[in-house]
Amino acid sequence: MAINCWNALDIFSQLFRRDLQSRHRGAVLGFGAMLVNQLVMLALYVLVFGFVFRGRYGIIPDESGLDYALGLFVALTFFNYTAECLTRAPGLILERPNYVKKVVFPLELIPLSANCATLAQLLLSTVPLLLVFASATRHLSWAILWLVALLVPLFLFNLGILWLGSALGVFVRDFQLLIGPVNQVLMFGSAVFYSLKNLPAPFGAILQWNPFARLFQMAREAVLAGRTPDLMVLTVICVASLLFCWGAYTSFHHLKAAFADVL
Amino acid sequence: MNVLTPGPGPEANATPPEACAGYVIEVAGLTKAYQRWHRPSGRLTFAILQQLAQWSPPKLRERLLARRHAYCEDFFALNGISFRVERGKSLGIIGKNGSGKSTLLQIIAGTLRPTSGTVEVRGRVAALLELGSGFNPDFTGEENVRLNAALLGMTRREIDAKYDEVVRFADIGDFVAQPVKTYSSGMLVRLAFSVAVHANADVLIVDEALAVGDVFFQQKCYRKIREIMERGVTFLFVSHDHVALQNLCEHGIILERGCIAYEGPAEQCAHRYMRQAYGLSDEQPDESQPVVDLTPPEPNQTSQNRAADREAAAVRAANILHTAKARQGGAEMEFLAAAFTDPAGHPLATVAMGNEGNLSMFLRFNQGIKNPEVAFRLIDRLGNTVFCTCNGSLGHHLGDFQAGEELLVRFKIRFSVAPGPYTFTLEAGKRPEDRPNMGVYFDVIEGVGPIQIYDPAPDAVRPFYGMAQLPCEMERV
Repeated sequence: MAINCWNALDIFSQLFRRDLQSRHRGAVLGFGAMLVNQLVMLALYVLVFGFVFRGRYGIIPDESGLDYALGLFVALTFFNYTAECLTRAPGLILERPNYVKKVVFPLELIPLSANCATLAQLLLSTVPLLLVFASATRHLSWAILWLVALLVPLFLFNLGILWLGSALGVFVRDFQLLIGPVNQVLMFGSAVFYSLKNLPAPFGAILQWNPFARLFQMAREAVLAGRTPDLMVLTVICVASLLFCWGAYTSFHHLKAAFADVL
Repeated sequence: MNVLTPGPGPEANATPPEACAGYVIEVAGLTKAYQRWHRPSGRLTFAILQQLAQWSPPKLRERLLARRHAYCEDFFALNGISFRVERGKSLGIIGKNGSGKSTLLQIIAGTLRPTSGTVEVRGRVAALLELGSGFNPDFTGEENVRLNAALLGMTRREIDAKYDEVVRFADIGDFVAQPVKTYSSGMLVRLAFSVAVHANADVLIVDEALAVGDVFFQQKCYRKIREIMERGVTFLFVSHDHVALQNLCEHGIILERGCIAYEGPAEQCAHRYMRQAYGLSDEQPDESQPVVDLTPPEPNQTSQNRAADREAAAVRAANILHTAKARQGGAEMEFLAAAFTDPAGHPLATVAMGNEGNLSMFLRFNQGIKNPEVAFRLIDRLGNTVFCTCNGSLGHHLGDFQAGEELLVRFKIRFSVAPGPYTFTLEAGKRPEDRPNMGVYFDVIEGVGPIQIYDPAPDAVRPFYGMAQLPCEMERV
């Protein structure tokens, strides 16, 4: 097929734009709904985990409920990004049989554009809120820019999840049902509500190996304490995410040929 | 119109130089097998088994793979298809539903993988595989046009240059700005077709889709297809409409249960397909089960006329009733034999356009009938009755007949009809006294023949065009 690089870029940009648009098309509240949703969820979590269960991360001395809320907001934003990718992955190809069977389509671009659109949406809806929140709690510093570096491996992990998940979703239809529990496990297993350091002995050591937990923790530390991430750990996670992403891409590429037979 | 003719730059670049000569499409030994799974879970079990087999030593692998038939059976949608299409030529593929047409096109278009065999397509392919294929219903016509054009390999510049032309050709008004889900199926195919023909592709593949458009749009499409074929675009068309096939294609293939049943000029192809569709086989008629009883009748006493006897014997000898495809009736009166001959009495299978042929029918009355009518119809390949007449229409009164009497009639027909295959339908019956244009049929025999009318001088101006010649004169005033 005569689809070259520029062409792919053109198709990608169209897909990306539509992906962003389609989230708001037909919605009355549109962007506002996202914001309200975020705020309500955050308020609930802060109320329950911060004030009812009196959760504290213990990153800075004399951590207040609001500090906890800020840390939770950062971790939740990161988690939501991955969770949304996980949720969308199984249906991504499955819902577009036309692109598989009726036209010669560079299918790899669909998960890629979905990932970019999810990230863009998340950034648009949280960055202003984060800046306001951080300055209100006097945590605004240049260290907050580390979040960008932390998003790189997360982006790659999520891309891998989308490629792998969308390909498997075509073959295993009940894959979609598994995503709910997986999301819950990820949420509670990735130190969103607690700090890795506060965990009792065996769990802390085990969860150290969860790259998501490490990323969320590092993001929280960067915002709350202005701490530079452990570059060694970050590098290892980056390499791991790259490998995962590459593996997922290869699998997608192999499985792609059989999509038309199954859909 | 604010459209300038699209610059020659991108258009000239669009055709890769290697596609300029030889075959553009080469299909060799193409086979596509679909698996029919006995149980849905078999898919997964067998996939795991297959993976295990890959890792195991060859002997075990064979044994594992032999288990395959416990899980599924193969259905061959295509079975060893091979053909080639030259650059700028057109090929039509015709066949009944389920003969593998669409599978074949999908493989050539590259959306489906063959089980074995190879497909080589040189150049850019624009495929219109199904109604609105590749269109996203939630997005507007314009967005879909742009995405589809990009998928067909057009650069943004080319798309911008051609966009207005595409929309003008589709001619769907302001609907381009509306989501595609609000379109009628006709509008959808208009837009999709418009994108496909304007994509500067080297190969254009169209699958039935055109049938949805109205007559005007279809004609516009045919004109456009011819126009782009003149530019050297190779055209592949799939249909079960033989008329469209003849209209658009030079060559044709008849697909039957995944195999090529016939390959040749499009006209031949269409004829053959028609004959199949109407149940006329190309083989010699099956003698073992004649539709009409051929046992010689008992010698008759009533016939006085020796000449008539001889004629009846000749009709029996040249009988063509065994070619009939269907028969109804035969109780009150029946056809014993029929012959189609030239004026000298030699059996005919072909007649030059405008020449004469004699249709003789030999009948027997099994009960007394007053004023019977004997009629024939000339049926063309589309099933139209081109002409029908009977003794009453021609001013012959046959009189009354007793049971056991026989009748021999001869129609002299001048075949001023379009060239092509025709069949006869023979009818025997009578008119109700109060309804002169109604018939009560006693014996009807369909599908007798076929006979072929041919154009004796294809290079000369034809005496008429259309289905048949009407008496017509012209003078200059």
